[in-house]
Amino acid sequence: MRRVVRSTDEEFTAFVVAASPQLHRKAWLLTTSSAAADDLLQTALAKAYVNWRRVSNADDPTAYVSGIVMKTFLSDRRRRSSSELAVAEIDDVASASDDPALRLTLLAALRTLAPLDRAVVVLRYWEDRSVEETAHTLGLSSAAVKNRSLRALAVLRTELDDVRAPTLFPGGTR
Amino acid sequence: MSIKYDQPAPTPESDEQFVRDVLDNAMSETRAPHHLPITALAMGRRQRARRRLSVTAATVAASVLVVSTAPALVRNATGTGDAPGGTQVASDGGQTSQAPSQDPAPSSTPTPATDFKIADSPPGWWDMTVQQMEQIGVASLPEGVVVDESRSLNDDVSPADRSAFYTALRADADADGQPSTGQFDIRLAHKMNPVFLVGPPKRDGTGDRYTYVDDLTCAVLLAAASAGEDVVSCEEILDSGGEVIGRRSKEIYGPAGSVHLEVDLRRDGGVVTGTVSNTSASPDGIAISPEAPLTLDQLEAIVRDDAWTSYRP
Repeated sequence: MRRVVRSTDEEFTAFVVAASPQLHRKAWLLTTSSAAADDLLQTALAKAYVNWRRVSNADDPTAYVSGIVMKTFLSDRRRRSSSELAVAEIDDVASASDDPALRLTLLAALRTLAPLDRAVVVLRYWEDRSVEETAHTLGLSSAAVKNRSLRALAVLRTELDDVRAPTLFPGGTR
Repeated sequence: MSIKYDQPAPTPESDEQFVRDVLDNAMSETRAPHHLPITALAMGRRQRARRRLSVTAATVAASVLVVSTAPALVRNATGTGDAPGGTQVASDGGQTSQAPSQDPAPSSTPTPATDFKIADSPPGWWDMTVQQMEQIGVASLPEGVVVDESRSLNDDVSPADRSAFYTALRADADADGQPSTGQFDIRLAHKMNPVFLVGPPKRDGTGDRYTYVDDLTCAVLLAAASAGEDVVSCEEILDSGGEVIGRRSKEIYGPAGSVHLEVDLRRDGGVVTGTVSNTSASPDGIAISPEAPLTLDQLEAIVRDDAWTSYRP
């Protein structure tokens, strides 16, 4: 009987293949740019690789790396540069059934938010985290998260107004 | 604008649900770049190699003799070089938290398994055992530098992968009675080891796969430098035909300002990398002397030793 031993690289590669779509969406929402999302996720995954034993032993490695993505975004947002690996060309990141127009509208709306408010939106409404969880992740008080949520929602309500148009939302006006 | 958002409009009181719906509809079908696994692996391996340099115990004598340098044509990326024939050219914060609620990748997302084959290495001189590397390392160090410890750096790779993927030697050296001043590494690898694949991936002729070039130019090193790394200088090593076959670099990074000298040299289908630094055994890689204990010339002389490529599997 032989035991199959997977190397760190094999484990890491398998993890990236499985988790990167989900993680990339989060990075894209945080940075509002596909290229910046590539950089952010690449950096976060490299950190995960360096600490792979800790990551792989976590109860939920994807959630662990998702936390690295958020912390890297928050720590890097003051000094974003082009020092990460440059990608020669923008990869295809959407499927045939994708809706790029809606995404462009959304990303433009998110771009109007402060980075920390954007992080609140991503945690609260993309990952469905509670106020308390979001506060813990971002190092804010619950009241601050609520205030930032309300402020961000007010902005998004305006910025995404076209999306709410009756033709786009059959049966709905606001 | 072609928006196919066909859900009933939310009421004014349901802004939160509205935002959730927009997020989901806008992003649920996106997928990550195909090259991400290999580029993340390359960056991770590079960072890990650097990190190890800063965390491993080290002692190298302050008194080292000058070693003659093998002939080399170099060009300086910082524009300060005076080498003959040269053309001047221009950190974990993870936390365990609730997983996102979105579904994993769409089933239509292709798995770029073929891209990972690039990490495989055929048998070659880079399969040399650590014991053999230690013998060569001891013999090649300048007089006055003594190896007092060596070990494999690939201790987190399964035994089956060791010889096929990554072989390394760390040689801690100390002259009798002299304080510790740094550490020294030699790494042997096939030329397509992800450690060296730090350049941008490119599509092949069919557009289905990504290909990489084992690019040892200074431009690639400068582009791949992580935040906190300061590439002080980089010189490209050229062959007689003017092709870049390696580079010599000096980097300072981290809050401790540790100095790392590195020579990468292409040798017969693989790459020999030598690194020397002024760091201690501290987990933070604290600099324990102003400069690394070996010079770039001495390091290059070691890297050029034909003994490194003498092994036959």
